[in-house]
Amino acid sequence: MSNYNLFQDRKKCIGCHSCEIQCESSKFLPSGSRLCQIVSDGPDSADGLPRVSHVLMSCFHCKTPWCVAACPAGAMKKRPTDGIVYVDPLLCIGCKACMTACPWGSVQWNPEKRQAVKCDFCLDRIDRGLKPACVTACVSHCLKFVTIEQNMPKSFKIPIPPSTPVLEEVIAETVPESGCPVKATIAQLERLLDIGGLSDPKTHRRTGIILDLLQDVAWGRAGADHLQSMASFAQKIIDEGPDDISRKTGQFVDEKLTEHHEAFVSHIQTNNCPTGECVKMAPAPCQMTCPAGIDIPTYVTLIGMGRDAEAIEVIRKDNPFPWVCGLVCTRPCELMCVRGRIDQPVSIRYLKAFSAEKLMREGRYLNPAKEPDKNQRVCIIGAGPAGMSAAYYLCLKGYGVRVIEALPTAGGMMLLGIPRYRLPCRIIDLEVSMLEELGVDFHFDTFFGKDVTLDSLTAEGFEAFFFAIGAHNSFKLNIPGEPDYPDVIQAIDLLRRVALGDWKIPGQRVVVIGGGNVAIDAARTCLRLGCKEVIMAYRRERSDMPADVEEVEQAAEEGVKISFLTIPVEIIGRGGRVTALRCVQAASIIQEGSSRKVPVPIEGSDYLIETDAVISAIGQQVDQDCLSSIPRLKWTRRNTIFASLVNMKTSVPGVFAAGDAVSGPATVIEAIGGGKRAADAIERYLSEIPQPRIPPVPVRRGRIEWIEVPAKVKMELKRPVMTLLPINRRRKTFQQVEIGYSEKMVRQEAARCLRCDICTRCGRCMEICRDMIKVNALKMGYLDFDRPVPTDFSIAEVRCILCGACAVNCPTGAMRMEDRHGERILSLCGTILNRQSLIYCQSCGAAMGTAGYLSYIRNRHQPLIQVTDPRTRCFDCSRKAMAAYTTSRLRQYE
Amino acid sequence: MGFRKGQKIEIYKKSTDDGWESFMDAFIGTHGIITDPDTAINDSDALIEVSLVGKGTFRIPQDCLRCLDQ
Ligand SMILES: Cc1cc2nc3c(=O)[nH]c(=O)nc-3n(C[C@H](O)[C@H](O)[C@H](O)COP(=O)(O)OP(=O)(O)OC[C@H]3O[C@@H](n4cnc5c(N)ncnc54)[C@H](O)[C@@H]3O)c2cc1C
Ligand code: SF4
Ligand code: SF4
Repeated sequence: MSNYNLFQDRKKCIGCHSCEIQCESSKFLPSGSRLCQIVSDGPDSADGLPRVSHVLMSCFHCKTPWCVAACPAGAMKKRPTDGIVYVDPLLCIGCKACMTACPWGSVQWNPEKRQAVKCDFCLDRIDRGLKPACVTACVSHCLKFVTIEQNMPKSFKIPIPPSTPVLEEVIAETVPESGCPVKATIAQLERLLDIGGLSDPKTHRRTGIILDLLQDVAWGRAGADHLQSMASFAQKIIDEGPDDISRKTGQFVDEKLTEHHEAFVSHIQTNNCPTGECVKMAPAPCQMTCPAGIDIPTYVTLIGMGRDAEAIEVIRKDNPFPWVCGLVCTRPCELMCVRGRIDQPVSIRYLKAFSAEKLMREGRYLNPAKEPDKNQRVCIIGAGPAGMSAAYYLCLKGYGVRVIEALPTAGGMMLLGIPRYRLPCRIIDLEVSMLEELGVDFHFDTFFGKDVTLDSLTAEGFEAFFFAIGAHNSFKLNIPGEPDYPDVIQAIDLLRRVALGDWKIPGQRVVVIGGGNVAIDAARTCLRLGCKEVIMAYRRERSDMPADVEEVEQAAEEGVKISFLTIPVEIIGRGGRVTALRCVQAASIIQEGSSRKVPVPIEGSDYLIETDAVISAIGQQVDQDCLSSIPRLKWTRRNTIFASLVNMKTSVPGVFAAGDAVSGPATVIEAIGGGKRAADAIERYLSEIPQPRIPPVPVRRGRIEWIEVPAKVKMELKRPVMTLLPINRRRKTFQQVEIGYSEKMVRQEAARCLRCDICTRCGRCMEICRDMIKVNALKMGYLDFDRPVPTDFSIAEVRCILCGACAVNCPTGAMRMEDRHGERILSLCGTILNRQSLIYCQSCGAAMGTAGYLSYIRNRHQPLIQVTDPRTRCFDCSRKAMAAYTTSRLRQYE
Repeated sequence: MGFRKGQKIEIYKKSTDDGWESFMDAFIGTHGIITDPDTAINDSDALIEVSLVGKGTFRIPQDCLRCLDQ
């Protein structure tokens, strides 16, 4: 027992519940959490009259408290100096062990804080010489608070958080550069309100409203007018605040809104917080990685649910070419995919190709609605992925868009570079036709710099220009013999002519110089054109080869030979025809002062490779000549157009550029991302809105439910192996090599996704389970980017007791515990970690937990307190039973 | 050798290259992964595609990168 007693004179109690209400409000509890409770017992008959007894039930502050014994976190404590049992909110993990252990139902639940709460006789008040709040509120004076030991020591105080700063200090705090300004402003305002220094009620209320609006921003609930509302409340505080501290608070909010305007707007517009500090808005790593910012977890889940049309709609908000990218994207997202830290990344790329093809086949691949006509025209030069993406988004925004293309067809390097066995022509055509249907006006066979110029187009009424001319000039080998023979060909020239229908064989034996993807494409194309022997000459080792490993493997399977550490030095010929390539053997050596291995020619090691044609694939550069009529256009030292990556603005006002022409030879998805960013920047330019200073944050396109999968299945599902065309057909035809996945494979593959848009991998659940509950049922080794360790979701099936502390402490709701059909189920983003039958209250039938959980709690207090009553009662019924027992005992003495 | 696809890297300093933009200053100290090295000629001077944890994917100069998994 404690040194205090709270007595109730039952005869005086009128059951008005004032004590309960006072307790609730003095402890800032949500309604319903009754630390002290008047339980009415009866009516029964006393002196021939019906009588209801009102019994005060709070906490007995037992000598050996059950709750203290059960609490695994050390949060439930007994104060040594006076025996008061209290909860330390800084330590409580919300596992409810104390609630379940207490046979009197004294510990209650605070659903707002998700922590246990209980009567502590208002420690803070009695330490100041005051009485508990309930006693002061009792209207019939039936409650008495007495001290058992008068010489009670007063030395022990509940630890409170370290020193409370003054308002000015809070206001002066600055946001670290890497932190989120929205979150920091919320934290600062919360502290301002907590300190309690805002004495003017109006200022206090307005600051509270601003805080609510800020919370909306941080939780992805804010609308377009939130910023304006916050600014106007801040202004009202400045104008009408009666004291200095009110005005300073208003100014503080106003300054934060101005200083971090872009970050606030980005939160509202994208529903994503790139720092991940606004936990509900942390983008998944795959989405952050995608250069076009596609909302990957949303579309993958939609595909998993069989909702292909919605998935394609989500993808096309950021990428107008889901089918093309589904086949040829370099998939940077898969390298960052968190599932890859467990086994293999989700097959993010291919899933969209499947859905796009299915929709196209079923005639359900549709364009979104366009905004009304803006009566402004934009001219785009280059019909590659960058140009066409900008065209698509500008057209949707209501601009008139013309695309000028030098060639007779659209596609750029997607069509001219990437061979048909990887990307069939009809797929490009079908997706390009969606742009035509939208109203994009293509002008083919029109060469900028010859047929049209900036001046002529400006005269036609175009108000902004976007250059996406790619990088189509090849680097020269610069070796003797190169200019002398027509059979020395540039890889991209060969690929272009094959793409445009000229299938002339370059020679029976060919050598391709280079080790990148373009070299591989040229070599595999030569095989398909009928070359008998194709050798790739690469100056470094296999491990240095920049081409994709899968591409290299496929090329080798088809019969391409690769000669490593081979440096071409001369092209030899006779009668105007190439006959051989002279090479020297190289050794790979680390030179002094460098960590990089370089190929060094071995003296006297020259040899000839007999060949009919030499194909050079050592890189491309931008054709500067066609833009020479724009002298103000700035170029980088790499001879690419100088443009900011944030908004694709060049040195010439109204002229934007992106894609390979800016980055140098890169990828389709980077070109698409650049085109989309340019469309946004052009809209801002034409609407006279300032350009952003930081790159755009990817937009969250949906917040959809997860797919439920048992943990064992989640672990067992493996990334499907891509079915390939039989090798004999691959050598001879341009038929698509990757045949694809079946529908079943696609839907199952989507279910492997971990939904990193919901679980932010903070590790809180694992820490609680391992360090506090000491059950260690969560083995999630993928949380850390730098040091992943093995994962096994199915361990929870064996170890988890379903206490729910992980779910209570999960800041994002990714870990969820719920009761369904007689079972308690724990799931992580839909992965069912454990499910067990529930045990119900014997009195009222309320769910109490699982056998494992109840026995865990029993085992914790068993050594201290033996349970003699085997009945199972819920918190409410325990309290009622105790009230009834108390009444019956007291009646014996009446 | 140049950087290879899938290698973990750290941005350990600011680059003096004209491909480095001022917003990239906030990347220093960030870890990431090489998503698209220079796929043509292993040119140490080329901009390469890097995805940075919590920042996004960018083409950046190689002189500011340090390999994490040797
Ligand atoms: C062989 C090869 C294979 C590739 N494989 C892949 C792959 O598998 N995955 C991947 O992601 N990327 C791949 N790429 C890279 C990818 O194709 C390019 O990065 C991408 O197409 C660049 O897009 P872009 O819009 O900037 O330029 P481009 O696609 O090059 O388009 C530029 C367009 O502008 C036109 N143009 C140029 N000058 C003018 C002018 N003066 N007037 C009018 N029009 C003009 C061109 O004709 C062209 O149509 C490959 C590249 C090559 C060469
Ligand atoms: S597991 Fe899913 S959400 Fe996570 S990174 Fe991979 S695809 Fe994206
Ligand atoms: S499930 Fe665990 S790791 Fe994921 S957000 Fe919740 S607490 Fe953090």
